[in-house]
Amino acid sequence: MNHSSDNIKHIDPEILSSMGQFTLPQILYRQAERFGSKKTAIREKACGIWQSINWEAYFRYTKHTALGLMALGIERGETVGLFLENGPEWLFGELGTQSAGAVAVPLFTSAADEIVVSELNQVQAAYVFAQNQLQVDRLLAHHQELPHVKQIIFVDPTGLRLYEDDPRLIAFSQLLELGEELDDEQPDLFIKELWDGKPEDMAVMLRTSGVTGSPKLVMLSHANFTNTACSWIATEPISIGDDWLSLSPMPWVMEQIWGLGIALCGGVATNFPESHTTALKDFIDLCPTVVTGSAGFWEDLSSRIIQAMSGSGKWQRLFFDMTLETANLIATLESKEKPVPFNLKVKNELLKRLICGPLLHRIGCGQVRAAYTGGLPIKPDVIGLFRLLGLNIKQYYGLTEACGMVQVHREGEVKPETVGKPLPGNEIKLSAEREILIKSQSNFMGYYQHPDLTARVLKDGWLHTGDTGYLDEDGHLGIIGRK
Amino acid sequence: MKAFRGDPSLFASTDPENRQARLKVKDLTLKFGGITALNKINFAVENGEMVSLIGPNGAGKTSLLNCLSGYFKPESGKITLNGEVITHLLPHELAAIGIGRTYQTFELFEDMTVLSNMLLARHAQLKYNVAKAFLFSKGVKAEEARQRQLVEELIDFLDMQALREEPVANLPMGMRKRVDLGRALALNPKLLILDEPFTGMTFEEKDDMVRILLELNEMWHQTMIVVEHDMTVVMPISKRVIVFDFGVKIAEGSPDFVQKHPQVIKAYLGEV
Repeated sequence: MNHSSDNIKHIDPEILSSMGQFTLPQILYRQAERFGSKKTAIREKACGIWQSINWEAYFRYTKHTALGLMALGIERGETVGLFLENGPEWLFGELGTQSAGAVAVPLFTSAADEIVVSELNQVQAAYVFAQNQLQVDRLLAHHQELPHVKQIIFVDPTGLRLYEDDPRLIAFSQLLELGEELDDEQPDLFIKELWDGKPEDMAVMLRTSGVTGSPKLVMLSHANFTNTACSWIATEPISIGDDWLSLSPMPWVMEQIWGLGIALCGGVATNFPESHTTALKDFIDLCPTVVTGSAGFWEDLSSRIIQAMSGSGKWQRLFFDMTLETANLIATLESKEKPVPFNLKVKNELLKRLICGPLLHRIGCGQVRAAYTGGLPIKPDVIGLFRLLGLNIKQYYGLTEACGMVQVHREGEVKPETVGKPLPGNEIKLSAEREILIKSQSNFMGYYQHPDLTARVLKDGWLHTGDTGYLDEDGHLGIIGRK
Repeated sequence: MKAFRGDPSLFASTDPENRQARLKVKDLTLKFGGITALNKINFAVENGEMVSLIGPNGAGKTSLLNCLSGYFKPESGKITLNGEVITHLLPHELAAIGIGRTYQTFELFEDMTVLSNMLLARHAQLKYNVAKAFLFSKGVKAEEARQRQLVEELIDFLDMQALREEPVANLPMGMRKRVDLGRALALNPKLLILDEPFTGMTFEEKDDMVRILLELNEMWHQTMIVVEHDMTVVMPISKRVIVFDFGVKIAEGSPDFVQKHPQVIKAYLGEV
């Protein structure tokens, strides 16, 4: 896939600053009006081909999902479980739920049955989206313990034809049909419900063990999402038409903030691999322009490069080492603000074209403008290696309670051992015990049903993260560990 | 949105009128020189049924299958599909009228990819001739795209997306069996014959195969004959089992009935 640089442009700062007044589905409505059917919103690989969904269709599917839920009898303030894998239906389901004024609760498909059941019971979810037969079977097996669940909506009907008579089940395609019917009957219903939503309403509840140890549900509002997303878009090289591949499980806060926050607000296309077995191939195939990955993802990639190089021929190794050496030399000179000799510059440029370019293309990073790592501390060597190869990789720091990212390396100010500076609008300070405290519009609404725990971590608008750190001379934050 | 999700258009139930299969085998006898491989075999398979043929090694199961798919010509007897006699048709003619089969030993094209192997099975159904193919006209392109779509739906159903570009030679046994099944399904068969589909598989692979076969039969009403010597896999999924020993049919009935049949016990365990 080719990305010509002329179709990339930054979103209007005025539009961006107004995002905070809207809920996420309202933003989708506005983006669908803005981009219409010309721009791709979602891509999913199916049948070996990338199948596109444009912004207009994205909105239409979301609308019909919301109306379908309304036809089933969803009430404002109810909760909907999303027992889904990453795919377009996740976005339709989550935004559809929010359009109907309900709260989405994403669940890890890899979680043990007891955890899923207890979480669904805690939020008393009336409707649950399930990916396929496996998830449906798991829910049905615990049906006795889930008295609140009225309806299970399944996405993939493979193997589920035999359950046809079960009144608890409905296919996602049927839900869309119900939505369409309701749309024909009451054409104004959706718009009314959509604009009844307020940005300070709760949008999702995410499970985290985060700050206090034991797992809890973090309540996040639409405003939390838009604040993080918009400050990220304003600071980072993210533009309309960028391609982002969704690789991590979607109940993870980073995936949520990218899929629903940044992609929506920034007009970024969300791409889904064909299946988790093809994810790496699809990554290389797509050549995304922005990449998010866990520390493990990048460490794995770097060790593969090193392994492949050490097993390659003499000449390849020679050139590879020369490339790293030259890039390293230039980086050292630049950091000491010394001039770089002309012949070194030429050598570097040549090696970049001959060695780095093809190598980055091989690993699917040939088009990357910005790559991010976070979640866990990463080895500085790994960031170092990728940066020497010419990949703009940066580290961020954040947590579910602060709705994702708080700190990031700014363009041109990357120090592998730190997590950079706070995003605009966020404030960071260290307590006497060196605990990191955050003041942000994105600070969460509280733990669900645990006001006592909320009060313990959220004091006078400052979020007590439980992480300890230090600030260096440039104002960069370094993370030491847990308190 | 995968519109086709779980609903490949090559499946029997998408075309129930043209996918009827009623097989009758009457007094079938096959001899190799002085050895009688099959001796007056009689049985029938109704439309939409899944029948298992079992028996110890050398019982004549594969010989029977080779008669059904035209590789061996029986000495006497008659095979009919939907009332038509097919005893003396050649393998490719049988494939064309709707008998698809998989093999005990692999007959796949090892150097070709999974996708190519399956596309090859669609060759007989192509709707263009050599001249048009040479010009690569619009119609040819559309037809190629349609065939690819049909095969891709099967790949999705069989969960082999990650392997589509992989040469068959690189695949483990269990996956090759799946490619073999995919190729047989790509033929659009009225009657699907599986020769030892569980051989050489790990426990998980067997589990997957069982799920696939049950789904094909119960949900998509695919008529099929499963030949297997491993009783433990076949018994729980079969409604009707036919047992062979030394070229003779020794029992036929429900799994329970067959398992208690004295002659079956004798054939499998020997004389007590």
